[in-house]
Amino acid sequence: MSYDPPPPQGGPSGPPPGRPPRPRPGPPRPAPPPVAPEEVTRNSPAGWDEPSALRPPTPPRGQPRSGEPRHEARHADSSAPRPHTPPDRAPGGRRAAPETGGFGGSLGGSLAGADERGYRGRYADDPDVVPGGYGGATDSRSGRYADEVDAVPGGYGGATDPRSGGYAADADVVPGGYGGVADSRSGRYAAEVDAVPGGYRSAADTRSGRYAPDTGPGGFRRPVPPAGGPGRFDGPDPSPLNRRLNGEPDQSFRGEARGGEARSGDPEPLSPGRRPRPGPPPAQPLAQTPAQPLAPSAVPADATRYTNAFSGSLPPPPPPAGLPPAGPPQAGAPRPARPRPRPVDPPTEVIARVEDDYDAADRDAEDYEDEYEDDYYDDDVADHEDEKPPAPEDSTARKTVRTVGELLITAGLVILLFVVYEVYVTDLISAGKQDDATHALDDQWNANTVEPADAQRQAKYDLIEGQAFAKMYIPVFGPDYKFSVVEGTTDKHLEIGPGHYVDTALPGDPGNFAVAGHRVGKGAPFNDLDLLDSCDAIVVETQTQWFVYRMLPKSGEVANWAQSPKAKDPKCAKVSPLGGSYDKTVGQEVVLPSQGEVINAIPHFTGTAPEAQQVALMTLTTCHPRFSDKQRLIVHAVLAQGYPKAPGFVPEELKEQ
Amino acid sequence: MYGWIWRHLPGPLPVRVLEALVLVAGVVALLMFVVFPWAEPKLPFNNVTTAQ
Repeated sequence: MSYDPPPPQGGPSGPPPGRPPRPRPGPPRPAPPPVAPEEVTRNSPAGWDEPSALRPPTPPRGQPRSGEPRHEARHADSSAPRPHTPPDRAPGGRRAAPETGGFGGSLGGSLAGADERGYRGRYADDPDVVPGGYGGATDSRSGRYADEVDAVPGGYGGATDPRSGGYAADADVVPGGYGGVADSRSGRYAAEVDAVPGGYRSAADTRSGRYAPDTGPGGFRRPVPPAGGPGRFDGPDPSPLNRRLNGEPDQSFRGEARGGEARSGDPEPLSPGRRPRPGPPPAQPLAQTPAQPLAPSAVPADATRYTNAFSGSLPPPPPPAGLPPAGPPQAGAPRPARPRPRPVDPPTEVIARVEDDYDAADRDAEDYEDEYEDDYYDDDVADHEDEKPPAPEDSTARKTVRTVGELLITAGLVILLFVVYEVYVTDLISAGKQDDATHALDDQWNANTVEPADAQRQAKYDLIEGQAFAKMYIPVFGPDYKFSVVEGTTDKHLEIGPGHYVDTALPGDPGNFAVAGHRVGKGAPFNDLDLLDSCDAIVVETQTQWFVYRMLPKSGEVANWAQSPKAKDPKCAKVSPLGGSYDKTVGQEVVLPSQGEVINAIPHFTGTAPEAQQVALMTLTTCHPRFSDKQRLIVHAVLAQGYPKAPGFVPEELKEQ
Repeated sequence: MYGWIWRHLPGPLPVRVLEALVLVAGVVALLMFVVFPWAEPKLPFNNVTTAQ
């Protein structure tokens, strides 16, 4: 019946049916067995033919595995798969790959994949087998932490997708139509195998824990032991997978085996239900009944076979030959006929894996079924989620507005960055240049040692633009207020420090010693120039002398300077309104940038005056108000004191606060 | 703009983040050492001298 159809796929399935087609329905399996044999036999022939053709595809898994005994089995399975791995593969695939139909191959392949995984370990690769039509598809996806193996056979084919994660591996086998799907998923600590046969389909889901694979479905779960296997097989898994998983010779196996189903033993004990026994329902019943009986007898042999299979000896070679023969026998009198040839496989190493307790715990067949279904759907959902439809594209207007907004934000950030640059970064840059200039000046001074005693010595300046020639201190701004004054007032010069207006008087000389300095950034030497008060000292140090300038009275103090308390302050002893040509020269003033007369020898005086009548002034200029260049803040000071430089001598004015 | 840039950055997230940081650092450096020094004298912020 249903089997018949499956047979093609399943020639393999055919056999499987016997085994039990129904993964979940563990119980039903018994029935299948009988059928299985028949089917097997039937399938085997047809299946083989197909499978053989198909097998080639499977190779991927098989190849790698092929090296191993298991591999061989797998190969067989893989090759066979398409057909229907389910039934036959197990038998044929493992032992007699050829014998089994496509299913055998597919199942075997899936199972093999599972086994490999198990062996491989968390980080092992995943093999996926996805058989189409009669073929099989293998998809392996490995994630860091989880491995999964899924077999999804379509039509008569089967698909196996193994995915292995660091900590979990899942193997699912989902047979469709006559095909079977085996899905095995293993969690860190548990493995499950579910077999869900539908119509002719059977699904086997095996979930194995990190270290051990389990066969979820009752049917699938077959005790590894050969003998035990049969009983379980009958019930739970008709599918070859189960059998394989169980590692036992399933009834189906027997039948199949007899048919030349070496596979029963071989395949992967671990592997989930490779075979989704296609025609589980129908087949199962048949298979089950017959299978069971058969199983017992056959079991021992099967067990050995299985062990062999596990051992990795693939050699199902016999199977092919055996299968055919077996097939007939199965049909007729299934199990007994089993051609032991399959046992082919030497004991497998693999078996050990299976050992996760968790798996065992999880293995309830019922649970498997449910889980299987759930998982199945979940998987679908997950796939869809992955395929999230791309968000609708934004309209041109929206893109434009967004872009403009981003540009504006960017512009704002750039301006903020500029402020940071202007106020802080330039300070850092200027500090370096100021240090260089100061060191250069110190070197120059130290090189040209001056005899302090030589009072007659004329101050000597090497005025080179961009180079410092003097140092200035404003004690009220703190003991650390010290700048080297460079020659020149271009931006480049002022980056280094206060700049001396070229062609204005030199320190201590009659005339106007004019210096410009930045108020914001670049060291901001004159940042607090507006806080300077009348009579405050501005000390200038040259190579040979100290000059102490004191700020002139402010415009508001000039009128009553004589009566003001300040006038009596010792600091202001030599400070007083200059009067005469200097009547417009006051301590502090704010002028326009164009008013260059503030730095004239006699500020604001347009006429000419003999140098003898000139007072030694010092003028400081900076921008005003702060952060703007609309005006200039001007400070005038008058020379109040001078000292020759001497080792260890420091003007007391420097200590003023 | 930024979304476009982000989408065109190759590599996984960490690499992308790194690349983005490098891009930002490069832009900032370009502004600090080339654009601002060039533009600053042209801006009316810090002229401290008077006509002579």
